[in-house]
Formats: sequence, C-alpha cells, structure tokens
Amino acid sequence: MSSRTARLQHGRSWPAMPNRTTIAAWCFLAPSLLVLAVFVFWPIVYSFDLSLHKWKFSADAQEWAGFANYARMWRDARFWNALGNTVYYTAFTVPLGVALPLALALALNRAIPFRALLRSAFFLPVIASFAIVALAWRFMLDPDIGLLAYWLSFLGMPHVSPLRDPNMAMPAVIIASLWKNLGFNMVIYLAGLQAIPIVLYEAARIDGADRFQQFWNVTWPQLRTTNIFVLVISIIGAFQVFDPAFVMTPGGGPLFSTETLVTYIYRQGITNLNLSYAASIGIFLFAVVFLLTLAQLRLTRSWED
Amino acid sequence: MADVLDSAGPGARPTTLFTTVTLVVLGLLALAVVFPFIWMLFTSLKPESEIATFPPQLLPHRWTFENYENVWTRIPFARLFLNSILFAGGVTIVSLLLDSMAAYALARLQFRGRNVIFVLILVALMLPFQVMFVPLFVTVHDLHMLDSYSGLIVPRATNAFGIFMLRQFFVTLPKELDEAARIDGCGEFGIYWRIILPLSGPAIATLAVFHFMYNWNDFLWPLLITSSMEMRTLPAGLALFVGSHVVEYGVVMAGAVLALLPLLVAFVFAQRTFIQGIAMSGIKG
Amino acid sequence: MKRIAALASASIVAIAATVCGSAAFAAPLTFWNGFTGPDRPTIEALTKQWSDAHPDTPVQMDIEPWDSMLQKLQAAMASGSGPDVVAFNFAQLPRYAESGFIMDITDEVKAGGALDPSVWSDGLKQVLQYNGKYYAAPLNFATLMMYYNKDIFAKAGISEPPKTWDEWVAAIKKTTVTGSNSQYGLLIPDHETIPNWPILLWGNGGDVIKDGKPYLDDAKTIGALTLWGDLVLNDKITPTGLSGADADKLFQSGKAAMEITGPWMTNGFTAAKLNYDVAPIPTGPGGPVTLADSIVLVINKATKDPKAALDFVAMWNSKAAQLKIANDTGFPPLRTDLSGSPELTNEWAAKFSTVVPVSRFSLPGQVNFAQIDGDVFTPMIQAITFGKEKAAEAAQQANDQLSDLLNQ
Repeated sequence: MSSRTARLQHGRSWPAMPNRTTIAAWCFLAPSLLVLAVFVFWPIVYSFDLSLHKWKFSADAQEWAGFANYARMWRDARFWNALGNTVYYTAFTVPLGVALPLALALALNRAIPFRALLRSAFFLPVIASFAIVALAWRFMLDPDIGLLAYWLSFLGMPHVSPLRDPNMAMPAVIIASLWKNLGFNMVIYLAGLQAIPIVLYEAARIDGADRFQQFWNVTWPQLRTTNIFVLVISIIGAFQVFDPAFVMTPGGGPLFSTETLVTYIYRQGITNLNLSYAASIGIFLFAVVFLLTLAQLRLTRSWED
Repeated sequence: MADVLDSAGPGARPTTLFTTVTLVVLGLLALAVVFPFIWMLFTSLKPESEIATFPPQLLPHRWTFENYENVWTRIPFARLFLNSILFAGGVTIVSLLLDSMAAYALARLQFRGRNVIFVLILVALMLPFQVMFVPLFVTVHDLHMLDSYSGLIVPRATNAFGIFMLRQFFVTLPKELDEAARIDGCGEFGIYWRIILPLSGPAIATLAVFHFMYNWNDFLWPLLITSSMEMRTLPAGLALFVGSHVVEYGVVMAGAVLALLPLLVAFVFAQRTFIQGIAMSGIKG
Repeated sequence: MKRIAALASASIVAIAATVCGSAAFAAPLTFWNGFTGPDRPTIEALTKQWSDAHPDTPVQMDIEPWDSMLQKLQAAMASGSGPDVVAFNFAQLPRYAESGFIMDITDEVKAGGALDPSVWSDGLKQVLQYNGKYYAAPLNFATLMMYYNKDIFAKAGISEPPKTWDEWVAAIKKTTVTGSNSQYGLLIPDHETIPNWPILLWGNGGDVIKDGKPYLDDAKTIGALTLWGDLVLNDKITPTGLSGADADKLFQSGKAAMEITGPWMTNGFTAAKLNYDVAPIPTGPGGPVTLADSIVLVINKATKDPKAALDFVAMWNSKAAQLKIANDTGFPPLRTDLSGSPELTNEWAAKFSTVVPVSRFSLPGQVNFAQIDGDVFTPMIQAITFGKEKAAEAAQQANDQLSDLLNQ
C-alpha cells in the first residue's frame, strides 16, 4: 500500500519537531546534496537562465531573449532531425540493451566453466575508452582497407561502408553502442541476481517448478528494483547519447543521419558558439527525460519500496 | 572451487549438452565482442608504417615494442598514471561513501520529502555535460579549485547514478535486519556501517568498478579543470599522440592497451565479491 | 558526530590542497595550443629555448587537442582565467577579435620590427587582421599540394603529373578502377578535413563568398560543382562521405592515385615507403590556386605581462624559428624572404613554398565560419555527392541559407 495510505491508517500526523529518523536522514544526505547543489543544480539553473538570453562571446552583458531560443528551436529542421535520430536510437538500444545483457547475465550466473573469463570478455568493451575504440572500429570497417571488409569480401559480400552511408550509419552507431554497453548492464544484472537468496530457488524446485517457472516466479520478481534501475538509466542515457555518434561519425554523419540531440547541442554550443541556443535544446532534452523518468517511476510504483 | 556450488541460478543441474552448447555460443559471441581489442593489440605491436596497408594484415610483419617505448618516453607516463590513480581512486572512495550514505537514507529511512529528494537526485542526471560545462567551469574557477586535485575530485564526490543504484539495491535487503538492530539499540550509522554495507558486496563492488572506470577513462573533465602536464591524467596524455591531421595509430593503441590493464585488474577483483555474495545470501536464509 | 568531523577535516584538507596547489611564485607566461601529434617536439623545443633565454618569465605550456582546448578557452576567457598567449587556427580570429578578450597589436606590427608585415603574403596579412586592426601574429603556414602515387601513374602510363584541369580529369579517369579491387583517382574528403572542395570551386573561378557576398549561385561555382559532382557520383573517383583521416589512410595504402593535402603527411608516407611526390594542383579556368592554412597567436588582453607576451609571440615569426619549423615538419616557412633560402634543407618545405604565391585562405574574416562550413557548405556538397540534389538546386538553396547567415 502507498505510504500515504499507511499514514492515514495509522493516524499519524507529522510532528512539529523533526524526529530522530528525519535528522539522521538529512545527516546522511547532506554531503551529497551539498555537492550536487553546487556542482549540478546550480549549473542546471544557470543553463536555464542562459537559454532565456542571447549569449554573446564577449565581456558585454547578455541580452534578454525570452523564449526566442525555444521558438527558434521549434522552427529548426536540424533540431527535429536530431530529435528523430535520438528517438530512433533510443527505440533500438533500450530494449536490446536491456534484454541481451539480462540473457547474458542469466547465462553467466550459472556454474559453467570459464565463467570469469567470459564475463571479463563481455565487460572489456565497457572499460575501454570509446574514442580510441572508435579509431579501431573505423579502421576495421573501412570498405577499402579495413580488415573486416577484406575478410568479408572473401565470402562474396559487397563493399559496404556503413559509416558513410546515410541509411546505414545510424544502425552502425546503434550496433557499436550496444557492443560497448552490453557488459555494463550485464554486470548490474549479475549483481542483482547475486542478491537473490538461493533458498527461494530451492523452495521452488521442491515445489516442482521447471527452469522457466523458476525464472518467471522467482528471478523476475526479485529483479524488479534492478529492472527499474536499468530501464530508467538506459532511457536517460539513450536520450543523451553523445560518444557513439560523435566519435564514430564526427560532424553529424552522412547527411546528418547520426546527429543526435546532444551532438547537435555540442555543435551549436561549442563549435558555433551559440551557447544560449545550445542551452535551450539542453533544457528541452532535460524536460523530456524528466517527464519520461517520472512516468516510469509512477508506472512501476517505485515509491512503495 | 566455490562456484561449483549450484549458484543462485534457476534449474536443476543442467545437462552437459546444454552447458556445452551455451558455452560454444557464448564463446563465439565473446570472441566477436573482443575482436577489436585483438586488432588493437596487434596494431600496437606493428611499426606505424605497417598499419595502413592493403591488403590489411592482422598480424605484424615485423613485431616491435617501439610503440610501447614511445608511450613511456614521449609522455610522462608514470606521472599521468599516478594522477589517474589518484583521480579515479579518490573519486571512487569518496563517492562510494557519499553515495551509499545517501542511498541508505533514501532506502531505509522514512522521512518527509523522501520521494521529492529521490526525484531531485535523479534530476541531476538529466542535463547533458555539454550544456553544463560552462557554469561548472566558472564555479570551479570561482572556488579557486582549478588545476588541483580537489577541483578534479570534489565536483565528482557524489554521483546520482551511484545513489540511485545503491538505493535500488538496499531496498531489496530484508527490513527485519534493521528493526532487529534498532531494538538492540544500534544507531542509524551503525546499521548502515555494520549491516547494510557488508551485505551489499556485489553492488558496492560493481559501483566501485563503474566509478573507477568512468573516471579513469574520462577525457574531458580533467582536461577542462587542469592546465598543466603535472596534473593531467592518462587519456589526456594519450591524446597527445592524436594530432589534428596525423594520428599515430600504433602508439595510441599501445597506450590504450596499457590504460586498459588496471581496469581489467579492478574488474577481476570485483568479481571475487560476487562469489562471496553467493555464500552470504545462502547463509542469510 | 563522527560524520561531521570527517566532513570538516575533508573540507580543511581540500582547502589546504587548493591553496598550496595554486601558489605561483615565478611569473610564468601561460601558453595554450593544440600541437599534439608529431609536431609537438618542435613546438616544445622552441618554447623551451625562449623560456631558457627569459628565466624571469618562463613559459608554462598546455598542449591538448584543439577541440577541447577551444572548448575550454571560451569558458576560461569568459571567466577571466584565460592564458596569456594562445595559438589557434586563423578562422577563430574574427570571433575572438569581436569578443574584446584579445589584445590589439596593430602598433607592434611595423616594418623593421620583430613583426614585420613585409615578409607576409597578402593572404596572410588579411587573416591576421579584423576590421583593419592586427590582432594576431602567425605561427605557421601551410599550403596544399597534390600528392600522387608514382607507381599507379606508371602503371596507367602517365609520365608526368597533370598541369591543367583537362589533363587532370583524364588522369583521374584513367587511374580510377571500380569493382572489387577498387582504386580511386582523386580522393576528395568532405568533412573533418583540411578543406578540399573550395579549391575545386576556385579553380573554376567560383567561390563560396566573394567580396562579402554569397557566390554559390554564380555560374562558375555551379559549373565546378557540376563537373566534380558528376565525377564523384558517376565515375566514382572517390568514396563519398570521406573524412580527412580516411583519405590519408587510403592514400598511404596505395589505394588512390592522388590526394590533395598539406605537408604534414610527408613523414608518414615516407616511413611507409610509398613511392610518391607532390605537384602543384592543376590549373583550372580560374587560374592556378591552392588553399592556405595558418595557426596564429593571440595575446589575452588581461595578461599581466604584455611585453613578455609580445616578445614570445614575435619569436615564432623570426627567421630562426621559421627555419626550424620548416626543416623539422616540412611546412613552408611563412616568411617570404626565406623561400629558396639555402638554409631550407627540407625538400618538402621547399616544394610547398613554391605554391605560396597562389595560395588563398578559405572564408577569411568570417565570424560565422563554423556555421558556414558545417551548416551550409558541407551539407550542400553531401547533397550533391550523395545524389540527393542536382548541383544547381543544391547551390541555390545553400546560397539562400548563406545570405540569411551573412545578414544576421
């Protein structure tokens, strides 16, 4: 039941003085909140303020612009293109980026030989620097001198250059991104699976449940909080995708097919020095992600944990 | 071997056929996943002139360690390595502490405004760095923390991702433990330190690896905050081999291989807590 | 209680560390630049030489990739913590000059002084100024030439590098091989590269902006775009969507007959034992032309030691420094009084300096150069080379966009 119902049922009204628990809670939270306030919340507020001005690169005071930046965003075809690409990217990477790692975690949680080696193999892409790995990918995928293209040509496959083709660039970025992040969610799921008490499985087995039933009745419900975490983080991360698109296809990709919201923000803010416009796109992104996250938390009733 | 225990996974003892098939599939998949690193390793052992050739070869024609020598001599590798350890290690330790404390409050303590604070912390994840970096830079500058370890570490001293992750994990631990401890007169910090943390081995270890890895590989933040070679970290050092027109692929790959090793070691260590985790959750029942 | 104490001591330690970390006892001159890669040793050597000669104002140099340096530079200048001297590409000058953050050095640029404009080419003089005032001094100067693969030429029966556009197109077609073992006649990268396409426009008498007005819809510009666009689209003389780095890798692998790029590739190509040489870019109807590029130095207005900064900046312009840069890296010296000098021992530097008289800068004096290039020009080229639009329409559309941009 919700905490609100609980409060009503127990007839509790909040005391005038904070109780011991509340003081303790704030003590635990204070250092984190302080750091976040200074180094995250303040920049967010500043960025919102920036988006309402017309920032000029000079020592002069900034001009007030009201919502002009947002209006400009609305009319900007490149912005809509970036939004579309971002949604396209999210729609593929989130489901695959949750299901595949879960499958891997389930497989690698069992007592199979070489388990540690396999886990490390899948985690290797995660710990590498994407900028350098992208150099490697671009080399290997070069249709003329790349190793992969060369080997594939013996199998009769045509000269394909995904990163230079407007239709294949985004799928290539998606695949590269999945490759990079598989291990990340896998490890999170492994940690979640570890926390499930063996006794639950033993009890289920005694009751005659087969593997599928055990998964459905024990594993899946026990993974609930992990699932919520992975889903929320994946969506926030997918909407803010920068590295895969930026390092695999700098400049926005062929015909801007891999320009995402954040690479567009980078382009506007840092390359073109339109910091206020970039900030307004950032605030838009912020609002979208905020609403999506709130919706997810509501739907999964995370409050009741 | 401890993990011969039928670990916390479903099913009776799996058939040998099933295990073999799974192993083969996973093995092939793992090989495909790891292939770029094999390429990187061999590239680092080639002289630069052999790297962009046609037809492309995986193995070097002339094996050489010159790229590794270059990494060591042309940049202050030891200093950069040390700075990376201090930066990534410092952030990891401080962040684990602050994250877990905040997560404990959010997961285990009932207080007014808890959900609001929870959402507020998530909000910290929602504005991309590319927008925030200007005010962030200005703030660090105004606090006179530029070009110092504190400037590098303090803004990262806590992490909304970490708080969220640990909160989700703490929530799964049985509440009876807390209540029993409170009855015994244990204070909140005691419960946090002596009960919750020890039971959270896998999650803490995982988060530690994430924090360490993220900060170890972070290119932009240390570059923004530091302006002298003495304070730079490894990614910035490796970037010195990437010119605006000419990229020295062999040296870069050698540097990348060297930079990967500590992370791999950290991951392998973290894995051990996973096995311990099994034992604990068994006893707990 | 324990926690509060821990937090307090942590804060004290943090404060102490910053105080000690930021103490500056000498009076160093801070210098930011992006000379990563093989150029770094030369830059470091020259800087150290100057520092040793000026022990009161040693140079504290910060080298990082250009992109992140520029990102940091904006925030640093805006917050008053910028470096004393910074080097960046000439294209950045207009926006920094407009910002008011950099020093006007017009008074220091005079004949007979350390910064003598008479040894600078007209193009260079133009890009060092903004609104008639000098804001920058040059550090280096690059020109582009046509690299060609001698083995491929020999196999195709081409005895000499082409000199006119007609010869050029013929040579390109002869050396282009499509199919599974492809070979490209002329590599033309369109993004993340030193600009190539503007040279093709200039060669026909066209341009992007002429006399401050958009020139993309001019018949000569469209003529060049049509000619070269068809060659790319129909004859497949080059892969489309190529970046500069991709092009270099392809040329080094012997997969292409020709590539237009700067002197920085010579060391790599020579080490790879490629049989190549460079020649001036063939002359088109618009006359002989090539692209010039330059890294320039500016001084922060807020610098505490303008005299030392100026002296340091002027050092790069000296004959000794220019000779060292040219001989180490193959870049042509930026001083016109050094071309043909017997002290120029690097053969490539000598060759690249032969085309200095016909070299032009791309988009000089444009504050919005990044938008012009990234939002208007490159999309137009890609629309043509990917076959999405015909050259005339793409150029007209881009021209309208350009008008809007210039009128802002």
